Amino acid sequence: MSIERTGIAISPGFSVGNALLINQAKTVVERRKIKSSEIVKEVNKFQSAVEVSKNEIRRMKLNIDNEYKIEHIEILDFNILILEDEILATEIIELITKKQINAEWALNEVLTNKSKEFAFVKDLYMQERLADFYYIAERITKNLRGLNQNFIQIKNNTILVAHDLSPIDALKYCKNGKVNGILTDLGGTTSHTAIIARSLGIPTIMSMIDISTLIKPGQKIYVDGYKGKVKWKVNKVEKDELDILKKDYLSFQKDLFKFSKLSGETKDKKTISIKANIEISSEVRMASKYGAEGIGMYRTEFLFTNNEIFPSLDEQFNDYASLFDENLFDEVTIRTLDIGGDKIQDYTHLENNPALGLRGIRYSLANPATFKTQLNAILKVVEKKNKKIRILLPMISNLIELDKSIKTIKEVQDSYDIDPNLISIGVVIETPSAVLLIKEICDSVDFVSIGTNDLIQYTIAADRTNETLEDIISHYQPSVLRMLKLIKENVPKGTYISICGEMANDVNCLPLFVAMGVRELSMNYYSIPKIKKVIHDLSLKDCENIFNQCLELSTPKDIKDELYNLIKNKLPIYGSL
Amino acid sequence: MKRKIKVSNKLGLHARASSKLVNITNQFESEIKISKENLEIDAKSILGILSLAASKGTEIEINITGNDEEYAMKKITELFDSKFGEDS
Repeated sequence: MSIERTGIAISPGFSVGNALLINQAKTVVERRKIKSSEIVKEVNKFQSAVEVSKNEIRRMKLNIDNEYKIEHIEILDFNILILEDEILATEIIELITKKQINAEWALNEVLTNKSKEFAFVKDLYMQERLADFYYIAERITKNLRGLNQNFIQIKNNTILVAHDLSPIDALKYCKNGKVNGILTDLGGTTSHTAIIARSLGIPTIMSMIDISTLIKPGQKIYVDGYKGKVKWKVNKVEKDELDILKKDYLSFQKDLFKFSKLSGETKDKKTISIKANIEISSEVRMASKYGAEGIGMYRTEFLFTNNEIFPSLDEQFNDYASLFDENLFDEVTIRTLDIGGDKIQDYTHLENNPALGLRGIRYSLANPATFKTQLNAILKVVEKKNKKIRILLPMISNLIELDKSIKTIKEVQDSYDIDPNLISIGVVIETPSAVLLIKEICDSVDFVSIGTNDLIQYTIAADRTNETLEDIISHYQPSVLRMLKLIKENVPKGTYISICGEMANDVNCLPLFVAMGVRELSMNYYSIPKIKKVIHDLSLKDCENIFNQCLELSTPKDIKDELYNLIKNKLPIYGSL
Repeated sequence: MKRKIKVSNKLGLHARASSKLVNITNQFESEIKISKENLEIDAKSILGILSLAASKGTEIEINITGNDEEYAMKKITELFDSKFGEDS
């Protein structure tokens, strides 16, 4: 009998592949079967790594010389005791021997189980000791690798299975095109890993609770990223059914390509420009293929966080210039660095609450050299390529930041010989504060782009990476609609409004944006065809009516149903896909 | 031999107290077990002791079997009686 599990469909597509299990606390651990002849070697490897770790801590002890010397030494002694613990060592060695798995995984598994035991302990003091277990595991793992550099090899047709996956790791593993599916226990729709998976077109399902413990390494898995379903251990009959399903999906994809050629025009000839959000410059080709009329937002974070050090002016210049390769687009939008929030990486300093911390424009203004290098690279591309670039400023929450940012741009711009018409400046409206200041903001810039992901997160005060809040953090919340209404009513007439969050690719929400009079929708390229298809069947009048009706409703479900009723007949065959 | 003891130091069998206890238990040959309610652990393992999560006021039972059991019990009792040296 086959086994089926369901999660949240994150990135559409249908694929078949073999499971690669990876575990990621801070370092990534692979689960690997070892041969019986390798057991002794693996156990020795583990024991040496423990010894090395112990010696490291002992050396640390010798070097401590401060006013907390006694306390610090006690903490280190506690860590040494964990390393010397017979029970722990025995359990790990047993796991290596009996299950024939690699030392790294065995260590990780045993320590994870131990920390679960402690998680029930109510005593806070005890709970805090959990951190020590993680550090110890990290240390031994590092030393295991030091003894035997064993990097994970990605084979063709790999389905990544993980408890959790960071955006950076997702990018790292998926860049060679060998991964054709991602399954994780945690994670939600608007996490950056989800955005990456969609941008790379990898069928992905998240919030699968315990999938990483159910699937065995190498297991052949069917991933239905449209419906959020996973199947394995299928029999002959089921396999045939799945093959038919795969064909259906392929013909659906063909239709989408037909729709991609359409223009973004409503029944009553209102034109909305349909553009793509991209994460990596090379995505311009995919964007163009799916019918994008421009790049509505190039998020530059991955260019920055992909390396140990920030990219130089030249590196950035080459990257931004490549957006115009093959002359696919005449105009692109580059969002300046939006580092922070869930995108923060270890080399940036840690904050208690990064989503509310030094991120976006705040980071850029606090690090003027970084900001100016990025602006120089952008403006140099405009000068050399003679193409139009829109600069989009993230996380503006007050007018002083806006003023400073514009001044900095103008200052950098002075050293280039550029036709001023080739540069425009926009602001991402993603804080409630920016919504309240929308009128003043619009007076100073050329356009605004509503970043719905963060606007929702900050409006509802719910962390968008917390999968237990998935229901609360819906873009169908009445408060989100009120935000849109506030924007609609307060922007100066003729303002160029774009939508650049995930909400832009939800067909149900399309009537809301038509009613708001937005001029542009920017989304993951794979959503462009269906949006283009639906927009042709809408009229401004219908959209305005439904916007007003939705404003009367009080629950996300009612609002979603109301919108879906209008849309469902416009996408007859594939319904909610 | 068995003996019931109440954990009376302020923080209970936390990291520091557990470390001290393990350092003592490991000096003896005898098998040393500690139990709390239905849970019995090896008192020579820091993990075992931590998993007891014995806070102040918890009653535990110490069970020692072996050649040096009497001396071991004496040393362990002294440690508990001294409140692990933390309240002094």
